Amino acid sequence: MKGFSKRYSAVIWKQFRYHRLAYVCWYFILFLFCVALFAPVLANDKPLVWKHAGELSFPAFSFENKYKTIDFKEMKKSSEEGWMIFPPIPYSPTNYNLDHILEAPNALHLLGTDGDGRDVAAQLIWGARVSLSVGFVAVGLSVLIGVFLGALAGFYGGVVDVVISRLIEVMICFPTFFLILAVLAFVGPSIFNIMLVIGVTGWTGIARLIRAEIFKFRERDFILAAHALGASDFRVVLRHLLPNAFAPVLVSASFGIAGAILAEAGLSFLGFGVPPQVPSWGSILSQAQEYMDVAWWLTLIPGVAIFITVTAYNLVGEGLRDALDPKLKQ
Amino acid sequence: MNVLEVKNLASHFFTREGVVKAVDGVSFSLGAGESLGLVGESGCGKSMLALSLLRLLDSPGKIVSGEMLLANPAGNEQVDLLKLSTSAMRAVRGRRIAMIFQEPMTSLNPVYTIGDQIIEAVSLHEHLSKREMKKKAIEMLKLVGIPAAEKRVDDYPHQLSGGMRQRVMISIALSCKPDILIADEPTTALDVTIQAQILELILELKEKLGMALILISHDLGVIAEVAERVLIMYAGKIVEEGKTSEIFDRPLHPYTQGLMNTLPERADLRHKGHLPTIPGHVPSLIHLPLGCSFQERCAYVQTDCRQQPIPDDPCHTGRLVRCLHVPGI
Repeated sequence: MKGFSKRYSAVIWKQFRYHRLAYVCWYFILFLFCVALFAPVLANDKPLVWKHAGELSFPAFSFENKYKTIDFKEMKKSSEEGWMIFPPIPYSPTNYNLDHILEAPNALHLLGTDGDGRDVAAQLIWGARVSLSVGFVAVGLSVLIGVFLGALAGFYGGVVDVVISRLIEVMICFPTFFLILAVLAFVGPSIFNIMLVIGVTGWTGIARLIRAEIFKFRERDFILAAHALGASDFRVVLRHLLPNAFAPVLVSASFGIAGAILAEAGLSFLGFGVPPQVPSWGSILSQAQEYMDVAWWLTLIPGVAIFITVTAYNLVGEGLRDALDPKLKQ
Repeated sequence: MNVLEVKNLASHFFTREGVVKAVDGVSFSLGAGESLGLVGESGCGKSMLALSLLRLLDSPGKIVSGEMLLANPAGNEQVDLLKLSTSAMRAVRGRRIAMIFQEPMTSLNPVYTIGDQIIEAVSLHEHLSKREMKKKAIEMLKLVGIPAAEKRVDDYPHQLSGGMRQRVMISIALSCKPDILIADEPTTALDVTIQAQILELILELKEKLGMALILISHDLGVIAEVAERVLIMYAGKIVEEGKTSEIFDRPLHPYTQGLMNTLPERADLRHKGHLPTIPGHVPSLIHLPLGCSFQERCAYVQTDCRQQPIPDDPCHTGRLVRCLHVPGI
């Protein structure tokens, strides 16, 4: 017998690490999360630290209105007293600078500027927030709906199962992307609506997975044993069936996040996505349509960002699938 | 005093092919602290009877008639389990009547530690603090003889052997000190050497906690060792009932006699060189013949055996023997 207390999750993690690429991608996603989380510190036109009139202040971390009107760059040039430290990318994604339109990547703007003179690197960093949160919230919603309906269908079977299964089949018949487009045309584009619509249309696969897994597990002896101990139906589903049925959902969810990020980028590209003033990878791309022939960086950079992120999620999903597959265990 | 009286219990499965009468008018009683053996071939309805006692039959199975009177520990009155609400029945399961299953390998939830599973069983019926529950879990593991219980309590089921898992199952079943323990073939899936240990453990704990035990088995050796009284079940009915010594020394029903003859230590191997069997198969529980259900396989069958249902003791043997023509009487 190998070691004590080897948790199930620890076994999966060990298996997961064998999949080298997935392991690397996992850390890449963690890195992306850090970028999204620390966006105000990474790309901001306000300095991180400002020494002024004998006082230290931290404008980048502050929401106070008094900093909003100050142009720190002008101040740095003109005033002699005091000093300031800027973030690595000293621009906000909403800095319109019409003197620097469509500049190719250079020392001032590492990834160039767009048609309104906004820094692409800053937009990319802030855009990670939209992409990641759309992915997570949308898929979280899908998982919630899918697990609930799938568990209902799988546990109770019979009429409940028939009704839910037919509902799933009806949902699958709609081409998802056009359904999302149609719904967004009614409710109007906003990050919140996009998350909602992608989430509400994406639960069918997860519901089917959970339904099948619960069908598989509900005849197991330990479920009968739980009933024999006096556990209620609700408790049996929540504590005994779902934790056992949840593994394949993780795989499906990581593929789902990749899909949701892609869907958001596609919607923004078509102009149905987030409003233009909100930085997102898709909205940089949609700008790029106009300048395709003169500004290659506008297409390439967000495109590569989307590609790498989506690939990373897919590889993590694949790694999870392999780790959870008992047949592959060595 | 009897903790449980079952009267005329019938559980049927309503399948497309017809009604399967898995339990067909079973009556018996269980005294406090008594150990009762339930014997029969595979498919004769033993496990279905056990599940019926907990009202855990899954559809299409259904208890169609009968009474299951459980003595109330407070007073002398009895409650009919079949008349309880589902939530009141849940309070009975685990707390008053607990069950151990045949397959220790699949009866534990693979995603929780064994400690968590004992704690869950306790928390369903008692309210204790987290620390007390953990203490109780360790105590239960010690009770069933698991070495290094303090460490083992955080183990997952896959880290334990079959015998250890069955011990854990027993500790879960006993964690709420039930009045009745139903053990459905608790040793069938285990190694022969482990079998004896587990049986001994069940008996020892039964004495310690003062429970009544219903032991289901097709292994006559196990029954002889553990049970004080035996029910012989055939095709959904009890065909013979009596003290273990009576049944083993003087089996009366032709089916019981057939069972006893299959015991290797009783069989006369000198003549044929192979073990005796009861010819034929258990009849389909959908198309049971009129009259005695053993008629097709019985050497002593006569015309009246095929004509009417057999009463409890037609030959006045002094115990339940559902046979019109008990051989030798």
